Amino acid sequence: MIPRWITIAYLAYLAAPIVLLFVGSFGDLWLNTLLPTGATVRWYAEVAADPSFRRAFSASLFVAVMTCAACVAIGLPLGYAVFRARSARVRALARMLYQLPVALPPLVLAFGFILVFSSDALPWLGSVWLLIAGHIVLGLPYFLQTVVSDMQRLGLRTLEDAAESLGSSGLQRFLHVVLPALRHSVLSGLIVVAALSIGEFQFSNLVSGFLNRTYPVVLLQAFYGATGFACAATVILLALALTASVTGALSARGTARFATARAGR
Amino acid sequence: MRLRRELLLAAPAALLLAGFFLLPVAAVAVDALREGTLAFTRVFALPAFWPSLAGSLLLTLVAASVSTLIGVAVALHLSRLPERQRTLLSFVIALPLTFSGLIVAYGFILGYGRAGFVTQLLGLAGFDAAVIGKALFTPVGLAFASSYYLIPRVVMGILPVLVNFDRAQMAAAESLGATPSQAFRQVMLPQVAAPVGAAFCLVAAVVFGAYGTALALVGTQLHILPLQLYSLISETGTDFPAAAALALLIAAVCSTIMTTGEWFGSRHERHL
Repeated sequence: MIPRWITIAYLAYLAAPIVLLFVGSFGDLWLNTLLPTGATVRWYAEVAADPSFRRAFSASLFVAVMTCAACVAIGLPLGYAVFRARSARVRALARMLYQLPVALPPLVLAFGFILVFSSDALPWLGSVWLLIAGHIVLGLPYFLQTVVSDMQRLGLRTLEDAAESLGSSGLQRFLHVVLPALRHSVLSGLIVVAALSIGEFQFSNLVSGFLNRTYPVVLLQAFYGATGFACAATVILLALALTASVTGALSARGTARFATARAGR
Repeated sequence: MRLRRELLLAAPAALLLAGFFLLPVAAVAVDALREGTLAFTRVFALPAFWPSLAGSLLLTLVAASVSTLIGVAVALHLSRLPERQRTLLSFVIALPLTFSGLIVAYGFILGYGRAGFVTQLLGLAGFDAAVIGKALFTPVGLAFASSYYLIPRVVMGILPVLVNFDRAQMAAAESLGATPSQAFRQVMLPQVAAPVGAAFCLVAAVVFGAYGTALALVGTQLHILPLQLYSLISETGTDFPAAAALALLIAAVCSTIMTTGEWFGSRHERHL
């Protein structure tokens, strides 16, 4: 009985900020009244016309896409190597190592970046590639977690052994067995990485250069201006996160169905 | 031969992690310890250090306790629902996991800030709106806002454990004369205590090191350690060794809490 009431109250707590942001973004004036007065879409038009928001939006998309590409290009091979490792101790150690960034506050990582990459030897601070490298470090653990646990659940090794006994080469197995079997979990891992990268503020706020500030970094400045503008700018970020969640849930269902189909063979 | 192939596959990611994770962390540690313990002494002497430590501890304790309590209650309710309903509700509850801390901050200003919707409603109901409107900008208010993205982490961590819990044990205990609360405390709680502890540690570590929501809510005036580090870094003419010492302290506390959580988690796995 008590858990049900707590859940209902919790859902109201969960919905309130989202609803208020949407309401505020369409309100003409919101100043010391319970709800805004007048309806308008001009705040969205203003955000869309704002050059710094436009630049930030494309910078965020570019960083997210590059981060995802890197996760596939270097994360997938790492996950596969960890999964294939013979000794359980090596697997556990590798997993512990690549999960380390989760335990480190992004603020501390950002400070480390400032120390290392503002030096004369490595003067990269402010470049978009450095920002992307940081996003990869922050996103990789979540990507690997999704993909490696899927490799274990699917019994990938059995599939590969079957392919090997039929005379396939390592590369053939990777391209024709491993990748197709993992497509759902790679997709859901990438959605998580993209969502984290687009919403990331704590690291980017210190490391991004003036010309490649990401959307959340620019968004903070909007909080000091008109309520409607701030709401509309926040709702855009919120909409991106919601899209990622819906796509992620759909692809997770795909993963579950695929695993069930394999298990029920 | 096999080993070499695996090393080759792992090498690119390992190199990236070495250059952009281990190297920066090592730089922080080296900078902090370069003058022995002097940098730490300077950190402890900062006028805002002890209030910030107290603020961070209060924030972490309140946020992690409240999130764990609410998260366990919500997960308990969800675990009793039919699977379709549970899947749908889990999806809704997981939404804040991908939200930026900034979304949370502005949404809470609209709801509970000085002229917030809920603040004004409570004012109409006879409460002192001025007091409520200020509460959001204290460590406890920040804990209330941070719980927004912490509770989903607790629910997602605990839910599988509760779903797999065999309810026949509760029925057996009750048929032997235990009250529902006795059955909960003496049969269920001991079995789920380890994962609950792990979830508590995870959210405590996250909230202890976070500064995004706090910065967006109050700026740097609030006394918590990550905000103090942030202002040390962004000020001009910064004492970098002192900032590094503070960063090392924060990282050490976070990883200690996280390791404790892992230990709880591994205890549960052995129990299975």
